[in-house]
Amino acid sequence: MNQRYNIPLILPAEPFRPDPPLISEMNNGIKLYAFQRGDQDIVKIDLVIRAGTVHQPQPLVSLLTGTLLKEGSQSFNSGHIAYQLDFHGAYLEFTNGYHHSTLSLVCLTRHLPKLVPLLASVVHEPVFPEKEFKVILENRRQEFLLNKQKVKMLAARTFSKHLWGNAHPYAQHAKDEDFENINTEVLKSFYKKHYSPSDCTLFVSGKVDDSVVDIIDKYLCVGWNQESSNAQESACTPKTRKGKHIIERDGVQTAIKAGQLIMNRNASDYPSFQLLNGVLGGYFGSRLMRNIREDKGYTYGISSYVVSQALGTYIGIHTETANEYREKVLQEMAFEFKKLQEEKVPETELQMVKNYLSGEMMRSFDGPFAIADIYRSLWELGLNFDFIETYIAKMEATSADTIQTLAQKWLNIEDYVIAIAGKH
Amino acid sequence: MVHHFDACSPMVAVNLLYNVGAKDENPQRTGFAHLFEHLMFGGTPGVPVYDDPVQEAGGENNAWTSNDFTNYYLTLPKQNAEIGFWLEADRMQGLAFSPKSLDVQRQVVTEEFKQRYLNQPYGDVGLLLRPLAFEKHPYKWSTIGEKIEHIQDATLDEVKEFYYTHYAPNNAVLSIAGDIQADLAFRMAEKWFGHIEQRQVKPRMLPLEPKQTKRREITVKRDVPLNGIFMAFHMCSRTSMDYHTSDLISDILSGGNSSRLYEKLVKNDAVFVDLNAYIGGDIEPGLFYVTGKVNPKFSVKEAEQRVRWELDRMMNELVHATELQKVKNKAEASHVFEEAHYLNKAMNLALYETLGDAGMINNETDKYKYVTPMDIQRVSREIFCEDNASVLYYLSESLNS
Repeated sequence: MNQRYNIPLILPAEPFRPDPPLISEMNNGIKLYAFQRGDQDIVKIDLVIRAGTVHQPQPLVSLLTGTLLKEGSQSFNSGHIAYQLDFHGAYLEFTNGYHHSTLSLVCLTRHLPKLVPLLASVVHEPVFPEKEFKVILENRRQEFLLNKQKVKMLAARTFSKHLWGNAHPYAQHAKDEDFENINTEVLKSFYKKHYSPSDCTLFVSGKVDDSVVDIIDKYLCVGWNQESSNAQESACTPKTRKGKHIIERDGVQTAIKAGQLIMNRNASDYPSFQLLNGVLGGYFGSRLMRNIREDKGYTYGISSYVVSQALGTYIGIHTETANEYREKVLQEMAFEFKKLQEEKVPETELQMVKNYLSGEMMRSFDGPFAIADIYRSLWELGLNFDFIETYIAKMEATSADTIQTLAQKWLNIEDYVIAIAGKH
Repeated sequence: MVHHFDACSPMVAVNLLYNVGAKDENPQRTGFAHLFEHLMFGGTPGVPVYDDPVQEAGGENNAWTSNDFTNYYLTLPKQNAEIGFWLEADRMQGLAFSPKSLDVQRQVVTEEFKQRYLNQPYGDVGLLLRPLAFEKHPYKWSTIGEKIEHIQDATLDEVKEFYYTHYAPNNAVLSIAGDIQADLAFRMAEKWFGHIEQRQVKPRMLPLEPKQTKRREITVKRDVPLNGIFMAFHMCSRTSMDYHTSDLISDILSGGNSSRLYEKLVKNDAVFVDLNAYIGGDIEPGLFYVTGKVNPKFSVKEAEQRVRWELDRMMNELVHATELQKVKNKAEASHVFEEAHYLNKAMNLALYETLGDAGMINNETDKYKYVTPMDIQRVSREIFCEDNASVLYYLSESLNS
């Protein structure tokens, strides 16, 4: 027998337990989570602020406040800040979230003594200059206009409006007029209200030792004083409008985004649901991919995924397909839903998806910075690394019966919000 | 074969780079290398579904095709690294060549063509700019192909011929990086690949691109919100001494918010909403791009003139030592950041080994160090010469109706 048919034995995953962070408290009370990892002399500092889109008085405020930070402080103008960052080969990026926003500094460890004071100035004393504000606002507006042309974006926006309901904070998207109704005064007051140490947390990863933490404490935290938190978040009940919602748009492809709200991340059947999602559309060999791409060729890709946020969790399915295949894709989706409800997933397939998902978890810890990112996404939902261990154990213990029961409960196409953007 | 040990995570990357890309295609069958990449996942006599064992082993796999290369990679939990060796060796020996797989993948690639190139605003820029800049060299078509018909007409015989003339152990580099010791990696490679016979690989004879002697331009109108200017200039090859100088030139112009184009033309004068200068990264003499979307308050001609002034400055004035130092520091730092991922390391090692020596990866930052202001000026004069420019005016229908 040719050796090429002599398959190597596949071994089960070794138990995977990421090292927990070292937690310390800075001089002004800010908590710092340190993840020492990797052998490159690089470091990432994430300053996480409870100042996301759910806190903003009007669209764009949280995004522009964060983006404008590095455009000028009382000590340095935007040109100087940009030059210092570039000269040291460093990056200072702002990411806007629903509940938290993050300012991340990535640099070579040896440049920290130069760059942390710069970061401190940007965070402590931003001035929100008019000129830079106008340029950035205009660039964002153009980006917005461009995105409005993409069927993928249109489908995603329509989807979230109907999944959460118009009034829900997760369904608030900028509109043309929002770009006219914003000014630097709004940003300044948002900054004053929300950028306080009591609403901040630090995550540091890479080559992190005591001296790194000392530098951060000394320059970023000492003298930046604690004020009481202002981050109010009100509860909000989603108002889902299930069924098809169609946006007409010219083009050669149609984008489809479908989904519904499901149990939260800390629910006991969440890990099993992730497994069901895996079987359905969570990896390259999933049911949806095999049927709709690999068997029929209707699309370049189709996937399903679970999105967990503080105010709710949903399963989403996304694809872009030729306009003429739109109905066929929806039919095949419904067909795969039904199949999972009526037939048990074969053991070999179930085991394969379990192995894939636990491998995927290990793979996500790639590089020195990823560990902090993963921890942070758990932390935002009030969880920590213990979750991962329990999650993998529960996912692996899930039976085909459980998957079928979950499919019967959660894979009813008539319960889904289906957003469609394209030419009919 | 190349190996690199990195125990940052308990994973191993198995990367196999074949020295074949879109430039090796028959001009009547463009897009073939990329279509073929899809077919490599269509199964072999021994492994009907390539992905099954990968996923069972907790692994992930993918591939990409460029004008120069086709690269396949897997990342696996370290205890299952051998699965990657086995699977890659298996499909190096032969494929199932199923007509159904060809039918389906032709259609999948057609949808990819639409999704990525036709149904995106500005998505067809590459399809328009390449044939303007290149008259003879196969870089004139994109990896997706010159047109959809070329993909739709591909036959199974052509697929087989392509496989047997390009997919061979003597035309590939295997690169292993991650939590695996060298002796184990080499033993596994020997075990799975050692007996695969060499094949007759078609020698590469690419037509030379004649030197461009006159500026070229085309104009199109599309349903996009802003007017775009897309310029391409011929530049040196990946292995030329001037490659790193060209890279630094692109950083002086547009690396970061303190760069010349961003500071002057985006931030201060707001002529452009977004403006970039970058090198294509091609192996053969390729293209240096300057691309931007124009603020509607300015005419396209005016905007282009402003870019031209900056390019002229690169040609006429020596760059200041501290500005040059800034972009060198930046290049060094990006190199370190990139190396923080085992899969990147595996890919880069395979690339450098294909270019002649994996050890080059250690000298990359040095090559930037020795670039002088005179070099910057000399290379800028070669690249930014007006006769060397191909310009695509990509106009917005609504702004120009």
